[in-house]
Amino acid sequence: MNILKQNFFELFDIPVSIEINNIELDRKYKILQQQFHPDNFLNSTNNEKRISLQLSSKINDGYIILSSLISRIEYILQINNFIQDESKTIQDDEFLSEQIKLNECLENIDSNNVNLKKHKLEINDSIDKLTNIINSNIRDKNFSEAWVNLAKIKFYNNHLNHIEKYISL
Amino acid sequence: MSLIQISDPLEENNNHNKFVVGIDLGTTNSLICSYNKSFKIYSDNESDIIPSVVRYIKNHDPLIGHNAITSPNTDDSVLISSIKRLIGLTLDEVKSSQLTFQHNLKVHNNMPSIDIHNKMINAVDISSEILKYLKHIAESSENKTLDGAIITVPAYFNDVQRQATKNAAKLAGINVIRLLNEPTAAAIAYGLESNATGVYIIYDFGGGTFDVSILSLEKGIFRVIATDGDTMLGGDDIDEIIINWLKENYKILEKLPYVELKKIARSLKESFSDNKNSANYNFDKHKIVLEKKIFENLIDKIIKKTIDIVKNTVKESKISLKKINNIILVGGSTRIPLVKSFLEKEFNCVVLNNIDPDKVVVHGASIQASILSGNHQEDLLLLDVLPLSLGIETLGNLSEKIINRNTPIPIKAKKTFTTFKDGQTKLLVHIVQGERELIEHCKSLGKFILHEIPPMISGSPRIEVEFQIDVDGILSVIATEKISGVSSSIEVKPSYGLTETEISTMIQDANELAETDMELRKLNESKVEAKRVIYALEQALKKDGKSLLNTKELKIIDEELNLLKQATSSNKPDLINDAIKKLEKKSEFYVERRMNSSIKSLITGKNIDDIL
Repeated sequence: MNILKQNFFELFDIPVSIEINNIELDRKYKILQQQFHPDNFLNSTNNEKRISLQLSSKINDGYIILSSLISRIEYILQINNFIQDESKTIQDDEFLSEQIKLNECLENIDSNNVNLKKHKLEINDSIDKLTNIINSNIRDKNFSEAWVNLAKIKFYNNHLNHIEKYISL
Repeated sequence: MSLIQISDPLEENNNHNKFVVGIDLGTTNSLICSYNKSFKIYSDNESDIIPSVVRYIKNHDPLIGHNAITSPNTDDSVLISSIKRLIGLTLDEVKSSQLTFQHNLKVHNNMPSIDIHNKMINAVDISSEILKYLKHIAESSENKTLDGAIITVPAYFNDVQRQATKNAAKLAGINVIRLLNEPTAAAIAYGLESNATGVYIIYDFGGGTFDVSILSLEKGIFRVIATDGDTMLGGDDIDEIIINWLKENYKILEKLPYVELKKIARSLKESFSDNKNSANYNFDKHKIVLEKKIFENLIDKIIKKTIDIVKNTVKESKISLKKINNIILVGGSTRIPLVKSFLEKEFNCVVLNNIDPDKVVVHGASIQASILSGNHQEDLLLLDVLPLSLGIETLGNLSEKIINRNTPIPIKAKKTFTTFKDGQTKLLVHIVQGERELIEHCKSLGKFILHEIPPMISGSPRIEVEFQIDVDGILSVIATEKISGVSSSIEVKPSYGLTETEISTMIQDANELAETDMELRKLNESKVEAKRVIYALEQALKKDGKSLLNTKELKIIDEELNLLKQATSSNKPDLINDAIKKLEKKSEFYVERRMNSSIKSLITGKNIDDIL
């Protein structure tokens, strides 16, 4: 099979899974770049230069996508040929009230808030729980449910990015 | 190892090292250096550090460096310094920045230019004069022709500034092996000279630009994690503040020419590098005194600005401060003691400056040049990142990001567009670079129109735009219409600077090469390339031709190979080039197949630990 057409899990030779071993991903990433980075092809033919540029780009792309939880889940849905109508809204009253609560919390945020770090831990905890649910969603091939839970993770993640601005170095 | 990393066939005939150098083309000073177990910086008799100054004299070749400074200020000479601050900028950008440029700028060939002795000269021309001079002193010292150079650029340089630097090198007749980010170059020097491993912040405060990079150094691989900076913040801005202070406090200096004021300002500033409590300057029987306290008050704002950029970069890198081993100081402006004390206070870690901050960048660049050319055997791979996000203009003058900053390069990204009117046959794609939301706050890299889109109902054409960033951080774009089957591809011509043809015409003009010389050169180049292709393919076939190809495939490649060999003896460059192209096309599948098989053994092979 052509490597330029392989999916990223195949490229890095790691099992298709939401939870991955980041140390292993890093290790494979370095081995691949050490072999295929264009710097290794400065004295090669144009064909090799071109292919190495494509390959090295693909290795970087795969590394970025597999490194982060959200893009990794999106990618797993994509290789399962699942396409969601983005205009569809989530109907979940419980989550809606959670969203409202968290948005209110953003309005009252200030850098002196000592509870900010604790709050961050709670959000991360919610993300972990959702990740476990998505894991079983995907095992059951229930991709539309996985998509809904991914949307929730995305919301939490945006929330984290917002509060991150208030946490000093 | 596979087909990859074959040696250069030319090198087999001659075992001599290639003559390659690192060039630090700085705002204030430039350096050129080669590395062969030890560093050799080429100096122009005066010193290793060559001022980035050009003096144009009527009916005379321009003078560069110390000669430019010491030669008399006559009416028919024009002295130009700090040109790096202007490279890749439009006239509007120069005007809206707070740059003090002492010459009248007009637009010529899309670039801000200065009228010098009735010739329009731009920043690329001036930079190429400096590069030509550097090349000259290195070549005359070694009595050899330069084979290639790595030129360093600020990490935060955008695509246009990078292209312009490359163009200047081409004009100077320099073969650019790679552009290398200045902080990354400094990291190489520290990493290899002192075997440093771990996470490092490189704080690079030069004459005109400020850069910060966070790097992870491991054995055999140096990775940039995040980079940020300000290409309009440097020692020049500190001089500017001192000049204003001088004018306010010493009435006798008010009418002094700018060049003289700058000289005083720099002399005062540099006095503080030795930790003095006050700086003195004698001017016409007047004693000018600047107290350290006042000096530090004056520059406090600028240093704080750099500290804020470092803090943001650390935050963006998502690396905790505890994990950072050291801060490395690079650039002449880090000689100001306040910089070091500020950094120590803010980040609470050891700040290193044991390698000369003026030379560390060129040291790193020369090592990398030596590694990439094969002179120096060292397993070192550099993985750098894109410094500024790339995007496309969308409705409402907004920039839609296609590739985010701090993405490792090389990288490719695709985006699909469609029409919004029925029967629309043209589409304008406007590419911008920068972090801001509004187009007007980003740098315009180029616009191109996609023609001949088959008329369809709005929203149904699928136009795929592909962005490829190479290892120098330079962009190329290809757009294709997918649905119609009549896919039209287009390569972007930059709307700034020079096109390839313009450059080659200029090189031709500059060298005034005779026609036959050009033909000979073309023929030589074609023959060299043909030799390279034949050699690589034959080596590959010897190794695994039989295991990877069937008889029919072998025959096809063999035929084309023979055709190229015949063409090579024809002495017609066009014929040779055609044969190369044909062979490359016919053997492409084989090269891919070889890479496939090597990747498989690499990743799944039993000997994976041997490779590591």
